[in-house]
Amino acid sequence: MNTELNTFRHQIREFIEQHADDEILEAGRKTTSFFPPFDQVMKWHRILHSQGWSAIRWPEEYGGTGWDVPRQLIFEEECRRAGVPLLLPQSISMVGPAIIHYGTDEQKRKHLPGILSGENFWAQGYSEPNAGSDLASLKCRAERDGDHYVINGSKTWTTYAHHANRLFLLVRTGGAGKPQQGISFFLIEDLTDPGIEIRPIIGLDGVPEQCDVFFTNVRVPVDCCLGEENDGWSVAKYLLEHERGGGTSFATTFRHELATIRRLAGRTGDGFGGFLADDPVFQDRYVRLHLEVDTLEATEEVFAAMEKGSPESGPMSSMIKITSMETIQRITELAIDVAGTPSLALQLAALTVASGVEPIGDDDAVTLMPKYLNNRAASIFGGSNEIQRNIIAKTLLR
Amino acid sequence: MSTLSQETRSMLEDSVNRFVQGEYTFDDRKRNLKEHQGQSPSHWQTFAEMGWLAIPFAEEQGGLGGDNTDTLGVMKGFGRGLVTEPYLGVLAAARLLALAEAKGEGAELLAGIISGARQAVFACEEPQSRGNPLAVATRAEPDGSGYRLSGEKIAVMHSLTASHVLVSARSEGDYTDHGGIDLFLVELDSPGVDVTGYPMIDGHQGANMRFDGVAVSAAQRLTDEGEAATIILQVHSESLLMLAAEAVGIMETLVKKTVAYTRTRKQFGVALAEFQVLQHRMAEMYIETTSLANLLTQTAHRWTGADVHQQAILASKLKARLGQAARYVGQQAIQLHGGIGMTDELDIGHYFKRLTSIELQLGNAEWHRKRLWREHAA
Repeated sequence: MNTELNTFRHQIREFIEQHADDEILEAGRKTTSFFPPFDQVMKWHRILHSQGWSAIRWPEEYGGTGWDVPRQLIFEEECRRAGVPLLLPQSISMVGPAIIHYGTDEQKRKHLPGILSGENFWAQGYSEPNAGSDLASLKCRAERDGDHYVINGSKTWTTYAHHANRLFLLVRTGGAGKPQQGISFFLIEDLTDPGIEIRPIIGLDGVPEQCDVFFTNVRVPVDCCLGEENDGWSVAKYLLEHERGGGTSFATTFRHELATIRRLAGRTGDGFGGFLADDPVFQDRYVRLHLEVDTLEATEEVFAAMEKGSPESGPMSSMIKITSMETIQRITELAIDVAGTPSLALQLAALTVASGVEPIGDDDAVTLMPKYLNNRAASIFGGSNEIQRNIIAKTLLR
Repeated sequence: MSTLSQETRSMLEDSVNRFVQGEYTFDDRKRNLKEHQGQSPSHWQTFAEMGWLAIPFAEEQGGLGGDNTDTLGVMKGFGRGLVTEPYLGVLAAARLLALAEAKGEGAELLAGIISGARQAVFACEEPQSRGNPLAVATRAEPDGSGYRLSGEKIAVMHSLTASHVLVSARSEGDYTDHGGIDLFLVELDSPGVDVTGYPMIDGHQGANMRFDGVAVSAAQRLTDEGEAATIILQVHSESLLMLAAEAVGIMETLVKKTVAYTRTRKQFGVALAEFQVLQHRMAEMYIETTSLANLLTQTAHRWTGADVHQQAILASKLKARLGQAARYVGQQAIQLHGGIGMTDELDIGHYFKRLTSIELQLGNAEWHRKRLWREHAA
């Protein structure tokens, strides 16, 4: 078995080495959030697709790999090791599984191939200016008009909408009842409609990642509805589990971050003539975080084997969301504490792929502050960590 | 010791409040960053006219005759307004010139800084020093009647219009030794000085400086040979005290703004402020902020009359405590604002970024805790 896995690992490594070009690797190095530079990550997506590896966790019949969990982990380890960007989650890990679970044959035939190939990139239209953690209070409306719906309203925090050519959307189609009722899940195929306006939002790190999206009388065909009309909340919940539980192994990625910090600490002075890596305070923080990551990995393994949508999987996905996001926040905190004042330089040009601008200071340190700033959102997005704790408490007290 | 009258102190406080509220709104600040890289000459002129540049200097030098603690009201106001002008960095250079009782060029420069006409900066931190002002690897090698300076300084609190830099360099002694450190006054356009300036995440300007065999005369050395450590330590402590006041101004603002936001923002049909988990978070933000403000007040009372060594300990305690408090308050302000707190458009994220800079500047909390332990152990 071990030899089989070793051979498998070797194949993956060889493929990545042969196919990940300099630009893709540069994008990997310059990734400062969960969302790598768009053009390069999609280029890598298409390369992986040529090998049938763009959606490794999907069922084989839909274009997945059929790999077991150890193989999935090996694949991710090798990707991290080589430093290629992680594929964007919205298409592959979010709307893809929802279409597989809830889609009609026609919807699967229409949408899954473009997701697999990377021809289409889907953005997520969930939050609204007044519906964040309280997602069910959303107001964006779709009125039925013959064979069409007419959409009016707005969405916000729509990551990479300015790069997307597809959008999945929660809209209100019904009236009375609980706020969760009367919501539908739409698959929007045409973002060039003049009634759709997409405005990028500049974040703390100085770059646009999220967007506001406005809809004015946007007509979409009725068959864009995924699942039953007015039952979009079930689809949304199913998808949120995938989002919160993570389509990929966070643990593998986080270890990579820790390794960078350790390297940096090994060559950074402690101000008293020694190096930070020899400082017991650094060592304790580092080992604590390593243990958090190891524990997260254990939970991720349990979750990966769990049936999604089961009574246990909901709270478990909330637990993964809380622990993974708070761990990466603490990792990025350690990172800026190690990097110190050199991380205060604003280096947007040096962080742009193919800019040719050399970073000021240590190569390893240039991404650390943007990561720290960007990851402040990790305890907010996908349902704030306060909401996740409410979900767990509700289950405990039921 | 401060000789400022109560009247002068109130006048200073009023003037900074008027400035921040009237001329340094968030929109003004944005424009200042765009048009002047955060360093407007007309603002600097206002600083001079209001007497803020003159506070901690003797009257015979053109100063107001106050001491360092008299600048704390200005710094708190600058915290509230997120002022990006290089007040702290330029004042540090001026304090060094004053403490060194600089003659000739140095004295003229000091008078120019106090009047607002000129600027200088202080290059102290090095790639491996982590803010320890005595960890000096930059060398001053004797060369004829003068010296040659070689080494690298980083994270200089920079002014785009500074003409001079004050540089610490070592002519003898081991790394971190108190003895053997000199302080030189160097023109920024001297041969062999290479300045890499950059904007920082908080809108301030920073610079790294490389000194490659820069020739300086003995007259450019501001203190007796190898004797600069004492005034460098003193100014390092003073800058830390001022940073703490700025941090308190920011944190008090964040508490106020966060409380106001959670009262108006509704989710699940009620104001966010109704949720106990968030109430406790805000109570904690208040405790951290008020504790730091109280520690600052106590430190200021003990400051005047304390010797250099005692001031260094007071400053380290303050900065170590600040690091913890500022991080909590800044992070929670964003968390309680949610997504909107992550945007460039709202001021909250900018307060957070300035706090983050303050946490790391002049030695972070861990470095100061370690310094305090070494003092205890000694």
